[in-house]
Amino acid sequence: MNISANKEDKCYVIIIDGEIDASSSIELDTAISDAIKKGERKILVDCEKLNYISSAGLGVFMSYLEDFEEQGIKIALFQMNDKVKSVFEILGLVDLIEIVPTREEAEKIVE
Amino acid sequence: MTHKITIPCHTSKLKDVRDFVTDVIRLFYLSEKEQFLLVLAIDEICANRILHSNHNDTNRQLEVEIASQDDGAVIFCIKDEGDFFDLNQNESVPMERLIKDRRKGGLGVSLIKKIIDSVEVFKEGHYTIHRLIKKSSITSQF
Repeated sequence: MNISANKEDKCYVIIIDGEIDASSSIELDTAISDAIKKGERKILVDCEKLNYISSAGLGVFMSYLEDFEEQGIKIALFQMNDKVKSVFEILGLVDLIEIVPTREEAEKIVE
Repeated sequence: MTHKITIPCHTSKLKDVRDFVTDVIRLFYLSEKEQFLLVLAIDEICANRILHSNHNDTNRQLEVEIASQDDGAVIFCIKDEGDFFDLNQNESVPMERLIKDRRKGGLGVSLIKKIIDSVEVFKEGHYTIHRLIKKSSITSQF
């Protein structure tokens, strides 16, 4: 699994490539934590190459929801495949975090 | 026919389990999404066992065995020497509480219970066995 992050004009983009499980979720945790520490307020997460996520990955997103709320951080996940999205759906996390098909839609959400 | 993999108790080996389960359950007439979720459920059990009952100790081993029944049900047996913990006795913490407490854990057991039809946990000698059943009306190719 590989995670990279780019600061762009309008937002901060985290790109996930591979599988997030109990072994690799720490890398996602670090990426989100870094974005918050840098004061980023508009975060996009590119999930096009995310092909697996377990509860460890869901837990990382869940653990920052309060920080997002308190600090006015907007975050949107985009281009997530249906199988990965089904994991978010099972636990109702799709109601708590924005998951949209395209980057354009994600940008509108964090504007 | 049964299929089996044995790994050292370390989370870096979870990918091996997922690949094994993926390969075996391809033999069943399940949708891609059903297969994906079964792989997830087994990954969750194994991650729990490795982290919380075996403390990522590579000197210990964890075994996953997959078999099918005549009625099409898929049986997964996960066997290890770690501490006994019956996840059926574990009450799920409400999502609102997990979020408020900024917890990263606590979702795995909920996922397992939503995907798998029944989970039995018992001791056999010094082994802890998890027996998971996923019912199916679909006949396997075994």
